[in-house]
Amino acid sequence: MAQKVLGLTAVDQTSLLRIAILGLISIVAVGSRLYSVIRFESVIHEFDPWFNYRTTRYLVDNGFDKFWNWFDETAWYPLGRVVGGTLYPGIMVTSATIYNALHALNIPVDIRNVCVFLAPMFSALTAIATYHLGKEVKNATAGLLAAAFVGVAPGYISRSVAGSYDNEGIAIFLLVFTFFLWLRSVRLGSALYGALTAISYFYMVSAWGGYVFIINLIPLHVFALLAMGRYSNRLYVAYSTFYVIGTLASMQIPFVGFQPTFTSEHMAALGTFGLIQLVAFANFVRTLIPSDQFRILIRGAILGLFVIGFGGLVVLTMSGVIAPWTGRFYSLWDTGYAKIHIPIIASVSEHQPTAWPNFFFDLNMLIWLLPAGIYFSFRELSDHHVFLILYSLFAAYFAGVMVRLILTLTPIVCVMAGIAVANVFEVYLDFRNTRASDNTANNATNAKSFVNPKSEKRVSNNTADSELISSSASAGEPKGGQQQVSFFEKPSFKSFYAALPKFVVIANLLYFLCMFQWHCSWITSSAYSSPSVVLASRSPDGSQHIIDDFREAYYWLRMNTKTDAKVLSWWDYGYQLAGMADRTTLVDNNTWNNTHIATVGKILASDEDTAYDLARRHDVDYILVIFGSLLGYAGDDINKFLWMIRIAQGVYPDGFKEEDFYNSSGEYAIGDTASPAMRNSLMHKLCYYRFAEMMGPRGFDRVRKQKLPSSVTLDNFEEAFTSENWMVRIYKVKDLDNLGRNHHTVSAFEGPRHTKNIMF
Amino acid sequence: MRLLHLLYMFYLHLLAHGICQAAGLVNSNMIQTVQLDRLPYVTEQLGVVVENTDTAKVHKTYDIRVPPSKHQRMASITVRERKTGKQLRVENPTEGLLYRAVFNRALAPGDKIGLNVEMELLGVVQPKPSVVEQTGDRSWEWRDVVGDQVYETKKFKLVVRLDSDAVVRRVEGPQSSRDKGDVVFGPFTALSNQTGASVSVVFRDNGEQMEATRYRREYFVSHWADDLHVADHLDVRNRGPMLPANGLDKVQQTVTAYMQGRDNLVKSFLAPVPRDAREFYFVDHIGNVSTSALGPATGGSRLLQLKPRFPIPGSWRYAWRHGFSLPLAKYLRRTNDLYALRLPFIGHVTASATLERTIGQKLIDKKNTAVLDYSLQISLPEGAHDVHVHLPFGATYRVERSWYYFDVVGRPLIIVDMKNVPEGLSDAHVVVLYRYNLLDLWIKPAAIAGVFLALFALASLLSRLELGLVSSSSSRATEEKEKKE
Repeated sequence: MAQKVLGLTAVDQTSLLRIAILGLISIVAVGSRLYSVIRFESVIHEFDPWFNYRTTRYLVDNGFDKFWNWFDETAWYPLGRVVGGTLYPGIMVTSATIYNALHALNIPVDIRNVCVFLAPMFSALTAIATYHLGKEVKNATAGLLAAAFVGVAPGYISRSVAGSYDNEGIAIFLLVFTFFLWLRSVRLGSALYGALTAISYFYMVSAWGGYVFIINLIPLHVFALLAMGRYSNRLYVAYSTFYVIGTLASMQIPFVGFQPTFTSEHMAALGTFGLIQLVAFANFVRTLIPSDQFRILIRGAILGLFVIGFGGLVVLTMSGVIAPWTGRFYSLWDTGYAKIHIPIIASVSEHQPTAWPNFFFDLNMLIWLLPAGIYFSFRELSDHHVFLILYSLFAAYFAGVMVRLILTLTPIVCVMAGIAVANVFEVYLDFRNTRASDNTANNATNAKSFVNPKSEKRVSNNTADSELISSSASAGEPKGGQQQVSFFEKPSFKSFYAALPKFVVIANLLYFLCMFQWHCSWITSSAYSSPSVVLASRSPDGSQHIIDDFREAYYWLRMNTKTDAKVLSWWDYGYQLAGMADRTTLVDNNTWNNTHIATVGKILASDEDTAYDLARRHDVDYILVIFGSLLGYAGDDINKFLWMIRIAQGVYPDGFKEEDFYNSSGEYAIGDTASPAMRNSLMHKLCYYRFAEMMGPRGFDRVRKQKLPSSVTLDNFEEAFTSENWMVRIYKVKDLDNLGRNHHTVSAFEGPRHTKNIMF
Repeated sequence: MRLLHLLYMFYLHLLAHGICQAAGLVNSNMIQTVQLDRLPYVTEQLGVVVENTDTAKVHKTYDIRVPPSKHQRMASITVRERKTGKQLRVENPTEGLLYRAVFNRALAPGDKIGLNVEMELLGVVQPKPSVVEQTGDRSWEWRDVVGDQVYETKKFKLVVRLDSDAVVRRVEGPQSSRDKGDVVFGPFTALSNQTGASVSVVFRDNGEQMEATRYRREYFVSHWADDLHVADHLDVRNRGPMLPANGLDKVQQTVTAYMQGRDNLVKSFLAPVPRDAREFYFVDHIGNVSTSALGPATGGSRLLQLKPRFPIPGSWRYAWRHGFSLPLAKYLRRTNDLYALRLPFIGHVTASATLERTIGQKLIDKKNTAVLDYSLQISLPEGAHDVHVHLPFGATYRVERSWYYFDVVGRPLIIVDMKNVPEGLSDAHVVVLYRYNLLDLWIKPAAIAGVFLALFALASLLSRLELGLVSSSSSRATEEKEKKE
């Protein structure tokens, strides 16, 4: 009988231990995501989070009704954006709920801090959900291991560090939790768990576009089980409940609306729903007809229906009744599709196919534990394991196609790794068997000593063995006056010898686990904890130097331009401009209107006069460009310029061609060796205007390692602001001349404003 | 009666707008001194000898007209009797442009009295020209109108006193002359001839002139933590001339910095803080501004240097918040359960065009930011009651209730609002008296402990509730049995 400690039974002790371990995992999960706050500050990161933050502020300040009906006239000028109907509100509503709850308890936290720390908090919940998933499919050990892995896996941390206030921050928790509930509902055949799965799915739909993964994977699981002849009433109850409630609930999100009824992404779920009804009906029929005939009937029916269903889907899609797949989904099947047809999707770095080292970078040893996990799943192959295998295969494929989808792969990799390591632990941490085998070995040896004469013949063939046996025989005899037992024959040695491989394996595994943790912390610290809004460099003495040009320029716009000023920039900076500068933008990271983005691209790629006309026609007051030549910041607009040209060219094919921007040697050059189109483009002028004066006669571009242009004239635009390190340059679009002259004439008449100050 | 009052008010309005002059009192001699050496603060002193020329009527009050241009920018007005130095009560019956000083003793017919009227004005000088190159000299124009008085003035002289570094560039107005560094207009013996004549002085002064369009100082008092937290929210504007096209010339800025030259860009703010201040921060609407520094302690204070995100030329704005903590014990005195809290009324912020941290104390004292709209908020600990506030000037205060971290009953929040803060108040203190006993101190810990206890009780209750049809222990036993099977 197990001893009680502190009045707790062994079961309670284990529960307490699990809770404690989960608590520690949660702390580590949250803690390792705080590097960014410690290194920098509590600030919203990157691009999309700024939109989420801004809308959350709006929700908190104006209430849910206004948020739901919000038409933002400061975005996509002059079109505006129906914000309430074109976003996934889950993350905003979550933050606002937390904020309001805290304020109701008189904890007056800033909404920014709620947003910054939301993703780390949810990562703790993800760890707990992963534990339950692991426990559901294997056991608590696998669950705890999976939770520990997911808590620190860089593949997930990359999207959930403090400040990374994006949909994925809560969506991964919901993804895992939905799958856990789904598996439990399948196991129990519980309508309650089916409904809970649907509710969790609804939350997921409200939070992230990646819900499509769930609504395809679960039907796929069901379909696979049906195809394997594993239909059960439990499956029927679970899926029917989930699909009906989940779909109806998901349609309440305006951005999703009626999509579940007519888009290709949702058709598999609908088809599977129909199929399972038929199968259920067939099962009912089975009770009425002999089983052999029924088996033939059912297989034929499933195959026939699948073919008919799939064929119908293709026909309906081609005829336009069912909306075809969106471009982003096409690029999941054909990685070259986007670059040819939709450059705006291809231009985003996170949509690129994944490089192989990325898998190791983001998942470390887990990536080679994944096949082991799949192997162990195949060995058992319960309904749950079918799901895990399907999830692994599909997620692995998608992660290979699009780098950002490593995120959806991470949870299953952690679960699979958990299963694999748990299996290893089961064998190699179980020292009870070792002792038992020692005893068995001893007994066997003793037994051999008694049967020695019988086996003498065989033994005599092998001297070593005969020695062993003879010594074994002696070991069986009592001490004192009897034969001495050799060291190698001692039970303690045998026990040690039996346990040694286990120690070696466990030590190795522990070493790898430690290295995994080390790797995760290092990756998190060095690669995923930079806000990208604020940059940092290291001085030779190791001290950190903050480069804060973005915020400097955005804050200048906020403080020193009219509140209704329109700022033109490439779409990457739209959300940041709206969030930090609080000014009207023409395009932003929503990228819903390709034409508008192409127009901005055209303005930046055109010559000064054309750009001026277009800019004035679009009421542009300021143009903002990012320029990294002084610091060597490679993510600047000149390096993105080719994408702008490609996107513009797609919409305005007559205007200019990408080839025009390569010089006669076929190089994408800047300065005097650039092609005329490049030299005259507004982007080139805005970036290099007066830069050579600052850098001196021998100055060069530190990003492109090329000589600077010797002369850049700019008449239609005037420099309004340049940040400390020249990373952000803002120009004002000049008003029309009072005397009706063009600005070139005015400049020629007045002379350049700054000539007298030039030193070089 | 009501009609009479209306007529009287109409008469006052006529006086205030200079449409008619009051009879009876005469300014037999008046010297107006305008001090422009502490810009953007301008002090106007009127030394006047007032004579009652009525034969029978006794006068109890003296009216002072303040033109609208000054009235909007006026921080304070005080009137003293010259001989005794006693301050006279000043009323503003129309709540507008006419101020009325009440004599301590009525002025009998034929009597004379010497008065010193002092007005403090904020930012009445304007950049001239309004657009200047980034490294150009800045000139300012002071402008006024002569003879804008309620009473007949027999003799008048106007003296404009400039800073020792300032250089006069242009003087306009009648009978102007120079007396050392001063510009003198007059003396005029028959001022009525000069009434309405405008006078102006344009002078070069490259000192920084900042004005805070909004300034809010918050004090948080915590007895538990022995902490007095100070947070200053400022929204400032450089009063200097604009840059051409209002655009920053980055090349010029870089070259000037390299050559260690002078330009018209404010690059840092200097705020003296007590030497025992700690836990500093400097943030704005979009996050930390990681460019602050703390100077060495000199005397009782240290200099906190705040470098804004971008340099601020003329007409540009910048807004931020900085704060720090102080040991409460140094600012709080206690007698039984009565506490007296003595706090500086307002902070001192000096704009600087250099990035040096060792600017002379005199310069810092001299160059304060003019505050146009100020709000002081003092948050007392939860449970503080019987709050009394002693303000060293004629401002009013109100007490509201606010809720901070884990507050249960709320805490008193004292709010003092003020337009155009006089410069002298940067040395003034506010004394807050309140009662706070031991029970009040334990409100919050007791409330938090109570909540935890309630949660624990609730959890305990819930864990003992049997919601299912079968008891959980028996169902667990069944499960285990099934597992074994």
